[in-house]
Amino acid sequence: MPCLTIIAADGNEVSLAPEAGESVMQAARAAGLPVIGECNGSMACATCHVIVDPAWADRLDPPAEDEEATLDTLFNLAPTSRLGCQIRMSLALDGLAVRLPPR
Amino acid sequence: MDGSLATPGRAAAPQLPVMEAIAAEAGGLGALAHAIDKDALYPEAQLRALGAAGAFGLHLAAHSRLGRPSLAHAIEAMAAISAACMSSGFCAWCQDSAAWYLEQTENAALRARLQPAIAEASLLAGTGLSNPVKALSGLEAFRLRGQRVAGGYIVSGILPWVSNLGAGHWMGAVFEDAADPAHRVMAFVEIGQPGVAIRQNAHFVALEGTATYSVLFRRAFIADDALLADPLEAMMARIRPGFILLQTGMGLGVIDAAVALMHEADATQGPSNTHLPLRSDDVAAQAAALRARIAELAGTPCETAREYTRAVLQARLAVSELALDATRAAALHWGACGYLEGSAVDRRLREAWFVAIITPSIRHLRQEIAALSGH
Repeated sequence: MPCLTIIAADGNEVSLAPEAGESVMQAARAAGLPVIGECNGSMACATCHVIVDPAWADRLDPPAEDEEATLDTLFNLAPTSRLGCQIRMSLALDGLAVRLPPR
Repeated sequence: MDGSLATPGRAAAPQLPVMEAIAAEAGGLGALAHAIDKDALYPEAQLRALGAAGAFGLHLAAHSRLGRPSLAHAIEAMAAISAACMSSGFCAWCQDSAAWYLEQTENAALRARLQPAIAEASLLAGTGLSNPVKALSGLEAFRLRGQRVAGGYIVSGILPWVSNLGAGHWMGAVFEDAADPAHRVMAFVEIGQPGVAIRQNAHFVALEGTATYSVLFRRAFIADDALLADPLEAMMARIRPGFILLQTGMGLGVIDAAVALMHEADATQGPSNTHLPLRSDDVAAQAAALRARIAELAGTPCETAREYTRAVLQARLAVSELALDATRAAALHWGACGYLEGSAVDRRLREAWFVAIITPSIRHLRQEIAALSGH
C-alpha cells in the first residue's frame, strides 16, 4: 500500500496507508481528518482542498478542466492546490505529502 | 396509482378562486411527475403557469391575490403542487423563498426591480441559503468569501447544490467578509453575470428535474445595489421562520399523497391492510393537526421570540417525520406493487427522504431544538 502523509493546518502530521485507488479525500476522511468531501468526489464543493508538497506536484496527473474551474473559486488558492478527491493513490505516489489549508 | 388525487379525509372547504386556479395548474403536474423525478425534465412551463395563476405571490404584500399577504396560503399552494409532484413543489419553494428575501430586504429598489417578475415567475430563482443556514448553526464553514472594493464586493467560492437555476435565473447568496469573518453579507445574484456560473456535477436519487447545480463564484463583482442585507444578521432573523415554514408545504403535499395512496390500496387490499400499524386515518388526523399548527405559526412569520423559533423548528421536524412515516406506511399498504420501479410509492418514498434531508435536515433541526431547549 502506498504511504500518504497529511499535514494538518496546525502542523500535525498523519501518516496513512490507503489502498491503491483510494482518493486522498477518502483516505483523509476515513482517518477522521477535517476533510469533508461533501459532494463525494463530484467536484461540486471544494471541501477536500489540499496543497500538494511542491516536490510532488509535477508527478501528479494535471487537473482536468472541471477541477481547474473548481479550484479557481478558492479564496486561499496556492500554486499546488488540488482537490483531494481527484488524487487517486497508487504505488507511483508512495510517499506523497499534502497539507490541509488554513480556514 | 399516483397518490396525486384529492385526499380523502381532508375537510372539503370552499376554495378561494386563486387557490382553485393554482390547484388546477398543479393537477396537471401528475402526468409529468415521473419524467421530472427521473428524467430531469425541468417543469419550467408549469412553473411559469403556476406563477401566472398567482402561486408565488400569496405571501407578498404587493402581489397576493388574496388581498393580503398570507404565508399559510403559500404553504397550502406548495402542498397542492407537491401532492402532484414534489420536485415541482421544491422548485415552488425556491421561487417562494427568493421572493421572500425580497419581501424582507431593506433594499426597496432591488425589491421593486425583481420581485414582480419573481412573483409571476417570468423570472425564476433559487434560494442559495443552505450553506449559510448550516454555517450559522456551526455545522459547516461559509463557502463564499468577499472582499470589499469600491461599489461592492468581489466574491469567490462554490456552493455545491442550488436548485431552480438556469441561465438568467437569480439566487440568494451569503458570503463572509474575508477581512472580518464575523461580518456576513447577503446578496442577490444572477446566473451568468460575470464570475457566476453553474455546473452540473452529480445526479440524485430523485428530483432530477429541479435544475440543481453547483454555483461557481470566481472573483464575481457584486454591486452594492444587489445587496439584500449588509450586515446579514437582522435580515436572517426576519427571513428564517418563513423560509422554514414554507418548506412544510412540500412535506404536507407528500403526506397528502401518501394518504391518498393508502386509500387507493385499500380498495383492493383493505381487509389485509387493516392489520397495518399506521393507517390513512391516523396519518390524516396527524396531518390535520400539523396543518392547523403551521397555519397558526405562519400568521406571525417575523416573530423572533425563542419559543416561537422552537415551535417553528418543531413543526418543520414533525412534517419531516410524518412524511417519512406516511410514505413508509403507503409502501406497506401497496406491498410488492409499490416495490416496482416507477411506482408512485417508489417516488413518494424518495420525496419524503428529501424533505427529511433538505436544510434544515432532521439532524440539524434536532440539534437546534436541543440548543433552544438548553440541552
